[in-house]
Amino acid sequence: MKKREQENSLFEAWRTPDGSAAQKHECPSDAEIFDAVMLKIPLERRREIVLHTARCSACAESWRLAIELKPPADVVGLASRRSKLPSRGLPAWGLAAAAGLALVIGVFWIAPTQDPGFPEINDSTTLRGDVEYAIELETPEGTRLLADDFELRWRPNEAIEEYRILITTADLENVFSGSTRTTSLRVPSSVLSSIEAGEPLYWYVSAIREDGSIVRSSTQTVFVEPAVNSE
Amino acid sequence: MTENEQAEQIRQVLQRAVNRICPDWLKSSRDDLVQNAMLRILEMHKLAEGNPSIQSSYLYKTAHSVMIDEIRRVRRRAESALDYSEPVEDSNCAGPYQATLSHKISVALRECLERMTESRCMGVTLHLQGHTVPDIAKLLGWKNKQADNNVYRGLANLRSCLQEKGFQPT
Repeated sequence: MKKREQENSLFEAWRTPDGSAAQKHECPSDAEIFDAVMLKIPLERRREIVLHTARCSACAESWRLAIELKPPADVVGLASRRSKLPSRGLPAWGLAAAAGLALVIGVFWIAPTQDPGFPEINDSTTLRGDVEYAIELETPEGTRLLADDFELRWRPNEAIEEYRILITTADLENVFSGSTRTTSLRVPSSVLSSIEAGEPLYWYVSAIREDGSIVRSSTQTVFVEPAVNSE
Repeated sequence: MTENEQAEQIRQVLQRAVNRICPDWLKSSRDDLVQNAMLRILEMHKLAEGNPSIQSSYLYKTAHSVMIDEIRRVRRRAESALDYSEPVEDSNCAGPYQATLSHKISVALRECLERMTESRCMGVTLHLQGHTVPDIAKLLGWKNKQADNNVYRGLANLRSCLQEKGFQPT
């Protein structure tokens, strides 16, 4: 009983924020933490992240949330990049949700031209999330950037403590995440080496304001072109 | 199945995910969190025209991202006092003295982890995060026995380190 109590107090202490509730520059992104929990990133990187969570309570909390959100076991690992695994392992609700979402998106996207009636989706009372697109991206939609000169830009916003940039593939896998106090960010060409020329990447900027609120940009597409100096 | 039913089905997946991770003090924001996640998914998918399929795990990933953002936002605004004042049968609400003590142990605990070998540090960290030994083995590429040893010995190291720092087991 005493040992159990000791163990509980350890767990309790472990879950107590140590005053560094916000993530720092060196922190892995939350998306990467989620992927680590789902075993979707290489073992070495997973270990690095675990070691990081040992000293960072903000990332440890993010890890715990990812554990709670672990999809059913037979879904985990099916979403690896460009994998063409058969879908028989997915539970019925997963398939239905995926298929449903694809259909809904299709309808949602086509609706303005073909079928203006889709009230539940277009109704602002239904989609009333508190996302605020307060950050305007300066790099035009669809821009082609050289891998060795890959700089993304956005317009400054008021009272911003830090901008965070997330770049993903079309498969929604993380390519890069970083933060800055300026309004541009240069992505190292080494990060882009695994991206094929012409492959679309999606990116957006989120920012933490001084009052603690979070604002973000819309998501846009950029394309990677081979580096000028590449052989 | 109509479009509305399909949208509702997706919403339910998100709702379940959010319900599983949402702390008590964020209960009142659950609907907003789900809406937020729906918006993000729709937006990302709208741009990914060449990628018509979507993994259900992405729904969970989005819910995770939305939730952690929200938790941090609320905490930064120091609104965390919201539900902490409510009587809950949980030792987390044991009052300011206990909270201060927990904070001190938390700092000491992380210092102790840094003093351990990497293997034990990783094992104990994942144990404290709530993983089982087989989970830990899988996450770190170990055999079960190796994971068990590292957790067991790491916890012993941790207890003696905490004792050195003046935190005697009760």
